[in-house]
Amino acid sequence: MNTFLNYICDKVIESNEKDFSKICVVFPSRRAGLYFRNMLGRKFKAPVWSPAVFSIEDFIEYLSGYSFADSFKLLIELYKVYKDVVKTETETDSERVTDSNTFTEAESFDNFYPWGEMLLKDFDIVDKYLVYAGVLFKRIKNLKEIEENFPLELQDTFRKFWGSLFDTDSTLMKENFLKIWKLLEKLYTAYKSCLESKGICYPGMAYRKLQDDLKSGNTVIKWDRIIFAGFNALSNSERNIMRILSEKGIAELYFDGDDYYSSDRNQEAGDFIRKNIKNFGIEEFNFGNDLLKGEKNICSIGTSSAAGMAKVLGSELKEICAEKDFKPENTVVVLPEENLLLPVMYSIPDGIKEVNVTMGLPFSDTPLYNLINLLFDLQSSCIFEKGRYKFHHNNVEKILLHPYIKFVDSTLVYEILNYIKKNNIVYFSPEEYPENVPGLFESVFKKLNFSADTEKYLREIIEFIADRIISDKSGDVDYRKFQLEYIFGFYSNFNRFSDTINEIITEINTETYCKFLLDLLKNVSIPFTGEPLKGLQIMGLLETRNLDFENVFVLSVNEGVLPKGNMHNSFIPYSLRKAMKMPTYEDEDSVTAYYFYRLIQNAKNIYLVYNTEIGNNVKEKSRYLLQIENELIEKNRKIKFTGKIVVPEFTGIEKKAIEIRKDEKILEKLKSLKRFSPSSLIKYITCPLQFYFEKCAGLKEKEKVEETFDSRLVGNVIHEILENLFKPYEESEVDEKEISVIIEKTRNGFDEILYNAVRKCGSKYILTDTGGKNFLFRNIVYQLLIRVLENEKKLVPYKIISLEKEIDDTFGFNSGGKEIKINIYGRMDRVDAKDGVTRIIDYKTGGFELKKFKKDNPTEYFENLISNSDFKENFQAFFYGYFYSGKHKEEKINVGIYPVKKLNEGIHTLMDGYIENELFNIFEDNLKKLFEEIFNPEIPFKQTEDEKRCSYCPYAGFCYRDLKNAI
Amino acid sequence: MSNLTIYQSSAGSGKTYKLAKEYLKFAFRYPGAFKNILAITFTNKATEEMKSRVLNFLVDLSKGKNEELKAQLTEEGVKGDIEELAKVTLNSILHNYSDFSISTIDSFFNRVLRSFSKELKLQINFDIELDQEKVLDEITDMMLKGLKDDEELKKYLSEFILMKINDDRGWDIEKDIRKLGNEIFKERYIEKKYAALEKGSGRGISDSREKIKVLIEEIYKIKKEFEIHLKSIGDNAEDVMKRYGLEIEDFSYKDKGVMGFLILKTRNPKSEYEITKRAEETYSSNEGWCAKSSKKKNEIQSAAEEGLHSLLKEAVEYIRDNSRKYFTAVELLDTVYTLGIFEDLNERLSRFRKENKKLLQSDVNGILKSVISEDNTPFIYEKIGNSFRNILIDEFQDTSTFQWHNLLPLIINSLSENNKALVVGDVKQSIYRWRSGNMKLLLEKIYSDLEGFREEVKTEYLRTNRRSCSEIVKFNNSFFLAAAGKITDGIGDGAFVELIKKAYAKDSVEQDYKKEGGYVCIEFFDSDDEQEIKAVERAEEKVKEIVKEVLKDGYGLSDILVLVRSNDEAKKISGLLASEGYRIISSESLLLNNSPKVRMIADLMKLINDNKDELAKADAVYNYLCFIKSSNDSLAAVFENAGKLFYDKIPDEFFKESEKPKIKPVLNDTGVFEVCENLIKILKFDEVPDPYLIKFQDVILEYAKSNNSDLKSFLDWWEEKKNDFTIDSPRGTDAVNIMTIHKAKGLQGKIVIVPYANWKLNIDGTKDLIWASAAEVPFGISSAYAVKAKLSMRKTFFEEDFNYEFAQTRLDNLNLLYVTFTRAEDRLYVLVPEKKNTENIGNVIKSVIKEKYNPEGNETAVGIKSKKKESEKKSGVRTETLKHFISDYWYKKIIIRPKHRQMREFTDEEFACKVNKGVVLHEVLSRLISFDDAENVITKMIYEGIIRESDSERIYGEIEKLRNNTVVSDWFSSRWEVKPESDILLDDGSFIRPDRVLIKGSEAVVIDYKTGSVKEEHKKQVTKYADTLKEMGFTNVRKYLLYFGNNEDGVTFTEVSG
Ligand code: SF4
Repeated sequence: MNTFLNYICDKVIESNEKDFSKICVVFPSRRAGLYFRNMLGRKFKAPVWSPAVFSIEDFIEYLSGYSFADSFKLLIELYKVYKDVVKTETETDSERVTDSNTFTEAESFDNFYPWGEMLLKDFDIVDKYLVYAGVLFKRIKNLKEIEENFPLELQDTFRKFWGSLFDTDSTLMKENFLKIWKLLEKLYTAYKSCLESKGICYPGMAYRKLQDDLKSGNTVIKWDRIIFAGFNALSNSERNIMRILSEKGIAELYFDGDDYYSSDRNQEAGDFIRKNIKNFGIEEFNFGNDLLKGEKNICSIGTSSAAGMAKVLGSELKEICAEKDFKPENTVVVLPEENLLLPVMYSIPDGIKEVNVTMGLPFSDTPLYNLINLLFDLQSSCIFEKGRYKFHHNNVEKILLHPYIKFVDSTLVYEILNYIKKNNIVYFSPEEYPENVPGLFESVFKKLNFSADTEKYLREIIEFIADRIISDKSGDVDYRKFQLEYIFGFYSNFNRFSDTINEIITEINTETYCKFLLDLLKNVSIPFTGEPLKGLQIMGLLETRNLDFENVFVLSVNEGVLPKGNMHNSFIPYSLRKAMKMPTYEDEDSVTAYYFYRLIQNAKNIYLVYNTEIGNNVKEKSRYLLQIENELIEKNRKIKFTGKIVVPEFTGIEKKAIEIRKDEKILEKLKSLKRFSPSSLIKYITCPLQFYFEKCAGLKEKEKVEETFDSRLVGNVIHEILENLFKPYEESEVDEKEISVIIEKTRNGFDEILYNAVRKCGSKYILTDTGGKNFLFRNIVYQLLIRVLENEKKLVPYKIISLEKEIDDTFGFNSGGKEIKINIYGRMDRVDAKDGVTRIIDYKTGGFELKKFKKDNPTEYFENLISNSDFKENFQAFFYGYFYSGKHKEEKINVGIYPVKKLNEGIHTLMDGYIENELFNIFEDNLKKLFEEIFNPEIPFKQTEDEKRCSYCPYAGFCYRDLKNAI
Repeated sequence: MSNLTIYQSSAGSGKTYKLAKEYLKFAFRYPGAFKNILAITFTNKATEEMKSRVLNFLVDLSKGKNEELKAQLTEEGVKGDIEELAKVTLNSILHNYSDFSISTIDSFFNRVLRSFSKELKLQINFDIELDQEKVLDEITDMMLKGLKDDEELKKYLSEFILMKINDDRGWDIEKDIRKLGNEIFKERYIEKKYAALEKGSGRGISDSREKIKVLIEEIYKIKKEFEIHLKSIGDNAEDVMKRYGLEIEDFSYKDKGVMGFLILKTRNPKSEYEITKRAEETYSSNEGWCAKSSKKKNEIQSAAEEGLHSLLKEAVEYIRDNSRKYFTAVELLDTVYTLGIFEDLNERLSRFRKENKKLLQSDVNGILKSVISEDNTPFIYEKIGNSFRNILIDEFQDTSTFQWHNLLPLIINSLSENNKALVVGDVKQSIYRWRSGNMKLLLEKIYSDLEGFREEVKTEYLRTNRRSCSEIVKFNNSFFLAAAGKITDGIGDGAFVELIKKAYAKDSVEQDYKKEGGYVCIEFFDSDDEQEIKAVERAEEKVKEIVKEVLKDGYGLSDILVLVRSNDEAKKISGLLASEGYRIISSESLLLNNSPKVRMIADLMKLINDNKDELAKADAVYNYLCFIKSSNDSLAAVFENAGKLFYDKIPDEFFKESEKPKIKPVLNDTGVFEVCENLIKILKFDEVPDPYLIKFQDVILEYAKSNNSDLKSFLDWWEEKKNDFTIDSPRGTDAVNIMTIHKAKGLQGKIVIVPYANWKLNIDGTKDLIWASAAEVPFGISSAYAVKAKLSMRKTFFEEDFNYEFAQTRLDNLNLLYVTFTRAEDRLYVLVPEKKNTENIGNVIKSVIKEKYNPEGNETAVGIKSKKKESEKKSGVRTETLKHFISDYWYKKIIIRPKHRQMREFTDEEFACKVNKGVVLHEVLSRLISFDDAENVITKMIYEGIIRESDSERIYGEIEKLRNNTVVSDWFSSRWEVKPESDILLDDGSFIRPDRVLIKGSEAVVIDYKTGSVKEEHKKQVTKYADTLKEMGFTNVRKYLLYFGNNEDGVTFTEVSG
């Protein structure tokens, strides 16, 4: 391949010197320099002095004598200046109005931060493009000023812009714009002189300074030749620097382009090359023309997700790496989106053994970032209660389960977690934990108060972890080394951060501190510095500048990514930027287009993968694909173009019904079940399979901390309380007087009553005074209770026979010719006697429906009773009635349900009057039938047909009945 | 001259075609004209479609293809060589693509908002949060946590829960609050809110609470007063009656007659104080107190004269005058507490926005509403850098009030400059009202808002249906005209009746057709007695028959589109057809959570977190053995021995080598995305590419962008969201498509089957909340109330709001039917199982059919069932299946030169001191040409983070020491030529970088800096450097090693010989 770098080598060698150290080569990027030196060295048999090789930024920084400060530092300096400017502004501003909307009060650093970043970028551009800030930032009061003060060529634009502000009525937005604008000029000047005094700068400042110095001849150049290689878009300062040097006869410029776009005025990719050629008066330039003449394969592949793009890449790579002449180092994978790096790294096929990643891994993809985030979340979950700092159990759990923490002592981690669940601890404090927690855990669960604490806190934890990882030999060695890189990456940024932030803001609170740190870390990437020239290359688009590869894969070839598109983050309005010749989105588009075409111009096999799933974050396929389809392949017939959509094959999923045959083991299990209660039978009626999972397979849900109540708990607690309240009246008559006493008692001692009941119900839900839900719980129980009691007044007088009386009985039936006896169990909320009828009463807090008994069709009714869970209340009623009557043959019995929620409906009784014995007999037959079915080995445990039953079933996952999909 | 054209575009009328064509007409006017066109669509998908439609037109035209379009363009006034125009425009768009402004309404307005964020005092880098649910969760949580000290809020919530209990609904307050909370994102709420703000009320939370308190008191007062007053009338009446020795039975019709009203109804709030007909008659005539045959005629007559009649008069009049107020109060009692909850949520929402630098999509339009005005339009254009002259708006019926408010200034701006704009929409297809779409805009408001440009606004109807065959078009033409008439029955609101009539006017409904043929079949399934279920079953049987029939006629499964109203219905039909052995695609079958592999991975993730999770273990084993391995293990064994099977059957790679119960370390060490990849590899799921898995990975990737990436956090999230994700509907798969009507909008099918055309027609009074307001005292206190949409609202001051909602709902349902019927190309089958006791769309269908087609039978069919015609192949992009599914451990392949060796400097203070001295000095020296550069070099290194500022003093000290050493200071003197970047390139492409090389003539000195103790390899290295120098022609080469940090002086050096 006759590549551009090769050409530059030739240019260097041409000078025929042995000692190239008198030559300086400047590339747009460092990476190009690396490749270049490698190439140059290979051209000689003996060692040679290397030329000085720079990226343009390094070159300018080097010559300007300034030091670039890092952006966080720059920001803090800007903020300080901003505060001063606003202050003096306020003091001197006579037109100041006192409405709430002025911009005359300095914002907190927190709010300023993002805006400051934007300003910094704007200032940088202003300097790089040598914009006269006095004109740009001038605040115009009337349009006349423009004619008086502005150069002719700018007047139109400025008049139009300011006109749009003045023409129509003033609005709040316009006024606000003017207020901010007024600040800018002052800010710009003050900021620069502040930086200057400290000897630091943002890049633009150095660019401008070097330009000025060169102009005035103040700079010593120690090279004989300076080669500027492969530049495209040049800022005014860069252009001037190059021009001055080339006028001195030191500098030479070479551009890396292809005829296809360089010579076609329509192609935005060539915009800057054409401009440069014109600007530097270069008469003739020989560009390659491989795009127009060469043979190429271009393959455009759409697929339906971002992760899918990585997999498509993997699949195509696997195909081509099987080819004979495939060399990984001739292959590049370009990732315009950083977050695809992990997916892509996982999708490199076996056939490729070495990979070099030049882009960094976003720090936010690392477990370490995750940990820091969790630590901060933990902090914000902290409450102060009973003299202790406590952390929400959910955050505690996340921290403990985090790989780095769990790794330290997983036994202890699980012990603590168990402790939390067992004791239902909503807020956890390590001091309350019965055992001693060792070092790290103690450090983690510490409440932070000041930012200085935070720094120490993080250092302590992360050092601990780093030590453990270093000394641990049991892990996956290949992976451990990367973990250490993450930690290293963290440190190098964290140190810088701490230095800067401590210097400026002495006492910011922990929260702000954390926010900044996370913001900063979010933008950090962990470099994988490897053997840059070995193996398959994975890089970002910017890094491909000046490099050529035979096989090129580009991912995310979608609008919005490639190019990024019209998202200008600048305070300076578009039209003013344009007028002042500052770069606009059109320029950015041209630059990206150039990178793109330059990347493919010498390649042989080009794969462009895009996402077809258009959504909020994904736009249509990139314009470059359209350009290729509609133009390039028309102009170069030698290009073999394939456009396709690649998707994984859709194989429908076959669902299987679950049916459990009753083998011996299961039958044994059934027989050995301790007892059958109405609720377990109802469970069977509702869904035999659910019954099986719970009773036979013994599958239990995981324990978790209960932070809130559910209706079941409300029900149970009300049962419990009612029992306690009525207990003293068991076996005695109750009249209105007694009820009043009970109500009084409830009103006065409710909290204690409630507390005891909750405890007794075995609920883990503990009433502490944290969180508001408990309050609601208390209130609801109270309200319902009082309502029940008030209602009781209407029901008296009656005699209470028993409360929460248990049914403990046996029941026999036939199965496979053998008599089986099983135990029966149940609990009747209340049995009372009124008007000569014994009533068995069940409180129901939930919704229910007692079905009417149809005299004319008892068979159907009883069939329903044992097969249809809509009849579950009826079933239960009969169940109690039947077993009660067994022991109280002489009594007239009725069963009723007491709807706690709908007291006005009164007690719903199963029958009017009482239940005739004959019906109990029918019930008995049916109950036998039910048990016979349960024990019948021929009838498997099946899933219920009514899927509504599945919505609260813990086993819905097994049945694939937890699928819901919103419309 | 008309500058704004409003196209009413019925279904299938080629709306996109029209838009694209109009776009071209604008774009052809002058070079670069396209930059001044803004086309607005509603969905991202529509944006993409329209862009590609425009581009395809241009490509075709520029190649001289598409004669028809070309002819139309010429006919419609495009001048010049169309081929040339297309070429130029295409080229211009392709190379200025950023100016190709076809955009969704949201992204356009987001862009505007962003460019003004500073002026609006918004956070510059705010994000737009699209996940409202997430936000709601968060603020609900905050609210409940903050409950502790907020007595009033506690009260609101308790009342709210009691209301729930009374309604016998769930207890899950969090869910309920969230559901309620959803309202605060809706425009109908925000709108009321803004209205209140403009009136200067409703600011701040405590203020409103005051008002709510007052309101609640007032409401109770009203209720009580009314009831007491009437009760006293009833009591008096009873007294009078008793005085005359009468009983209620003595009066005519007994308790059902006028006395029943006067004595019973007045005293029983449950009676709703209905003035019965008989009471009414007696009230006006003073007759009818007693039956003609009554024995106590005289007594009754006297009682009436002596008081009953005047009491009756009083009662009737009192009720007439005060009942509205009373019923309004009663209605409000139920929901008034929600007001307080709203206030609180709202407050928390604004705090959330600030703290998280986030705006919600629903905020954007509201904020811009206060920004965009005609006065600002030019300035806005200046700032965003585009100036739009022509504006095209698609799907206008779905535009919301706020959106329209914000678009209007742009349109006015464009019209005032005498530019053209156009709007396309179809009220009949407006089915997104719940997303704040307001169809009234298209019907009325656009005309009234542009009153000033009346001359320039024109309406056109797109009449030609290109989608459906003639019989279907003809059927729909007459059907919907009649159906609209039926729908308006029972709507109280006269104005709204007019609107519906307008929406379904003849002009709007009737279409021409392009394709001959087609078939429509409507069948009713009566339910005998109460057995509605039987009717449904018969309809379902019919579905099977239809499928059989169309397959016989040559159609494929993929030609069939079954449209249903809800997911439950979709499930039923899916089950039905699947059991017949047909392949189906439904949104459920596409769910990620429906994939055993996805489930299995989630299970294993749970287990990595907590190896005691028995359900997860069983689930993993079950999925693995039964779905993935298709093994024949008995299910009982699987569930009962899951714990053991787990260790036996799950691949060994899942566990730590030779320490089985322990898990492979890397699974413990990584974030969720990496764990997923590793599991895929371990489980060998990478053998076949699987769409569900890839999508699952995508979901994780997207999740990890903005959430915590640990397993626990992910799993918590997944538990909530697992039913929200589906894979793309696979194209070209031979399967019946089953989907909801809402999803089918914009789609079409050769055969459309509607199995359950009996959805409810009216608003659901038990479920739906609506916003209502009343100006009457005291109800004007709050700007609006969320109340239940019960029919009884007609008795309140909220009648108007209710009627509007009521009518809207009916229209929505008609629109749904319109969308449904117009999806069909060749055949439309509509099955109507009878549903009793609820007014449903089936009634409408039935009465239209009985009236216009078939008064007798249950089946009506028009057209003929012809065999499937071969349709022309649409040329599209080739689709291939993914060949390989690669998932491989990356960390074995990536080459790195680890930097973390330097780490101890960061972590171990003491060590750091020692090493740092070395490493930092090393770095400083290698950057120094002469000692004079020291300051520059060190400052720079501070900013690079290599030197901590606190350390710099010490380093200056060290340098000073070196300077005092004679040998070393010679190396930094001007006696030598220093090779600054003294890299030497070797012939294999690598290079060496001795720390310092000094040369003079053929004499050279090479020095290398080292830390730690003297090692043999150091010598080797420096010797290699020296040898290289010799190779380069230096004859006299000396070599030194300089060590840092070995003794008190800090620096030692040795000359290396040999
Ligand atoms: S999900 Fe449904 S079918 Fe499965 S066990 Fe639970 S209730 Fe039964």
